[in-house]
Amino acid sequence: MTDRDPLVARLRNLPTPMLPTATRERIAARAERAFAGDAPPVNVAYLALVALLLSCQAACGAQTIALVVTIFG
Amino acid sequence: MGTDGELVERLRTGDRSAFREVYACYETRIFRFLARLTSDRAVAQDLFQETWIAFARTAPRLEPRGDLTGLLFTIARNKFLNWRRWSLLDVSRLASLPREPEAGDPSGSDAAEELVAVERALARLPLASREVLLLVGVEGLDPSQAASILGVRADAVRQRLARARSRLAELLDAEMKRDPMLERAGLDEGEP
Repeated sequence: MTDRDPLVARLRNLPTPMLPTATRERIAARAERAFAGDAPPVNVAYLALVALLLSCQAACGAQTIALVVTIFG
Repeated sequence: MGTDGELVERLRTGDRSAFREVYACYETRIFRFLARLTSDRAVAQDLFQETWIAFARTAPRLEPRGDLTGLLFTIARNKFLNWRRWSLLDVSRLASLPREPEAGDPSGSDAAEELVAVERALARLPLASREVLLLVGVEGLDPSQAASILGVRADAVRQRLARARSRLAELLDAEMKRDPMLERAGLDEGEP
């Protein structure tokens, strides 16, 4: 498949779809922030929520054990 | 602008200007690839953004001699395949599955109408044929690079390419028979 292939030439002659400049710049800025490592506040919030849920569960478990010890201990 | 090897080295050290250079160098090609794979600008734009975010997270951990072209097209293709899988599962997203591109400028010349016919024929190709034609035919990757992106052997890429090429010729022929004006335009271009 070479450049002289008329089919390839036709494919290459197709107009290149472009994004608007503002969109390109917005995506570039967002990706650059991700590259620099200051993008994921969502992950931090998610981890904080998981930690909160786990600590609630642990407190509940401790309360249950304390109750069992009080009754049968 | 540095070579791919230099850019990879700089990306590994977290150099933001290297990232900007890579973006400037590849953004047009990646968006074109996605737009032609999906036949839908809005979907292509979403996948384009996801591709660059994924690349940004991978870039600092690239292999020293990493192949930027291969990596970027692989990420873009994976994003497309993932989107396609979800689209097939989610009935509400069926409407955004790849479809024939809309007819181009209605006031267009024969040449413009011929381009629309080529776009239509390309969109009607099976995915395996379309992606190999886009990678090798349009983006100019060599078969071994395309093979690593597609996860197949290089000789399989050559076979797919030959099949894709003849299928595209058939589809284009059918498109042109649909509109005799287009066939005249094709002949006027002096095809052998």
